[in-house]
Amino acid sequence: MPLPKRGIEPVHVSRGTFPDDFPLPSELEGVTNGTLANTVRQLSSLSRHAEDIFGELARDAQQLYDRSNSLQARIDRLAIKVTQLDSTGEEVSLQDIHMRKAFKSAVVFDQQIFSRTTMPTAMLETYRSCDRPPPLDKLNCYRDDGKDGLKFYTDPNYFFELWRQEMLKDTERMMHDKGKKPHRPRNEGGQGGRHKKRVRQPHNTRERQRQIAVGQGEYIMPQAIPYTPPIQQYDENVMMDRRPPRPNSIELRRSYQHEMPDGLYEENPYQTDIYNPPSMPNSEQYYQTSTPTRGGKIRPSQPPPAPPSNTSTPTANTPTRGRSMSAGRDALPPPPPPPETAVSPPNGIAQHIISRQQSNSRSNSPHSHQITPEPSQDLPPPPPIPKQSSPPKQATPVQAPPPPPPPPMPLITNGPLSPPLMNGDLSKIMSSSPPKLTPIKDRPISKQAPPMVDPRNDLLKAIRDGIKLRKVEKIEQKEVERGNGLHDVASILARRVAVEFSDSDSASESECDSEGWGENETSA
Amino acid sequence: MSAPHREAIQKQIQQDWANREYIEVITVSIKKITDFLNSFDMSCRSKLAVLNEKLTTLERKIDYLEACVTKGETLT
Repeated sequence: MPLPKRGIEPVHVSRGTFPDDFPLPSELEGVTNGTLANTVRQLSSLSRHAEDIFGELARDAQQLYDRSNSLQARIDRLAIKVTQLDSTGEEVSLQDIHMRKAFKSAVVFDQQIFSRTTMPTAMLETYRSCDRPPPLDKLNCYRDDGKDGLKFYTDPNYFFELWRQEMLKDTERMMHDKGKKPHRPRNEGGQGGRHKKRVRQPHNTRERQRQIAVGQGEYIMPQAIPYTPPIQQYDENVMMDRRPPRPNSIELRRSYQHEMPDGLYEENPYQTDIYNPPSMPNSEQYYQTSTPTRGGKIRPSQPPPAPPSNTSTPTANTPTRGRSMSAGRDALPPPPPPPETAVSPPNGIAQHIISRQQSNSRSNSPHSHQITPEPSQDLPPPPPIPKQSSPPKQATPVQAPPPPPPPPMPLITNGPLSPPLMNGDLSKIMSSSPPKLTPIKDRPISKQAPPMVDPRNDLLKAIRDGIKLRKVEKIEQKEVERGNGLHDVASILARRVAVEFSDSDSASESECDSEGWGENETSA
Repeated sequence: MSAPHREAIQKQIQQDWANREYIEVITVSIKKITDFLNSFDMSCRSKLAVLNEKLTTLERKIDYLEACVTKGETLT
């Protein structure tokens, strides 16, 4: 329905100009005079609207004039500045680079364009002539639910709220999906095909890793053999088991964040590991406590080792044990399976792998943790790696056959170690550098760990680290979201766009990853 | 009697027609003014919008250029 912005007042000029109760000598003249008077009223109304129109135009023009003036001033200053630039003295010193002003656009996006405040005055007058809604808001004090009574009658923000919630939900879901991809497939029954796909990819990557490891003569081989069958079973089991653990994982993440200062996730952990030898007692405590409470729900409070996963899927555990290969192990709780690998479907791994490869330096801490328990039972319990990266992984991890456990420990502490390590070697390493075991917190550190000699280790770590990093980002975003509920269109849209872009990026990454894997395989 | 009376009435009616024509001219003029005002308003607004768009583009470019040229100190 088109709404006239302006209306000339007396529409029917000649109507009602003939007075019934007042006898006129000349009726025709009376009507004529009345019509003329109404015409003059129309003219006055027209002039008022014209003034309004010109006023608006003049105001807009004035704004443009001011803007162009300031722009001209800026251009002049810029011109002077440019003339002062010396092409000969090309100073590209690092200091100058730091002095560079980060480009920050001061552009302000127009928002709430169709609000009461931006309504043109002419329209506002028409609007004011409308009947006001009944003062239902006066009954607010009698409402128990705290809602605004008037909003049941009329709510100008209704559609915006609707849109806002939808957008937020959308972005949330996208982010969720993104986060899930790497870590775990969905359990929803409707998406069975999807699940298979996701599960399968990790399987492939693992096999590739295994092959690579085998090619390098690693002890991984024995693991791989027992390992395979669980994986296949894993697909089915994982689907069932993953659900419950999720909540725990979320909680774990949160706790993790609290622990870690913003932006320090990556670096700090690493430093802590190096400088503060992981607290052996702590880790042990965690481990012990966690083992009894395999239920897994207890986790949230502290990042317990992977043990819960074992309980959920006994079959899966077997492979992990095979990995560990430690004779004394039986008595000990099963070593926590590498949560990342197990939980995360191949997709996630691939994405992370790329990042990993780039940052080979990442510490092998995860591996080290796994390995550590094997050689010496007394050693600190397996690090609760999973808590940061993906609690969910732990839940699912059960089956996830941990990637061949590279001897990460030595790498962190000792730096480059010879890639192929035998069990005996591992134990030696462990004994020699037990303090190096990184506590759960240290996990993220692995990224910056010194470059490793064994490419396979790097890959695994990169995968794990990448996954972890992902989650951390996600958490941050979520927190931000919670912190400041988005209430304006621009921020919501910007966020959505960002999420979508990141999605595409991740997709491209995954592709690259897969390619990288292929190359690795060939090389291996 | 009828003749002069009829003449008077005819005169009144003619006068009335003349008046109505006069009013018609006035109202048509008002309509023309209104049309002009509307078209003027629309064209002005569109031109101002184009100008505003160009200005915004220029401002962003200048923002970028300033960021490129400046080192530490702010031009604005």
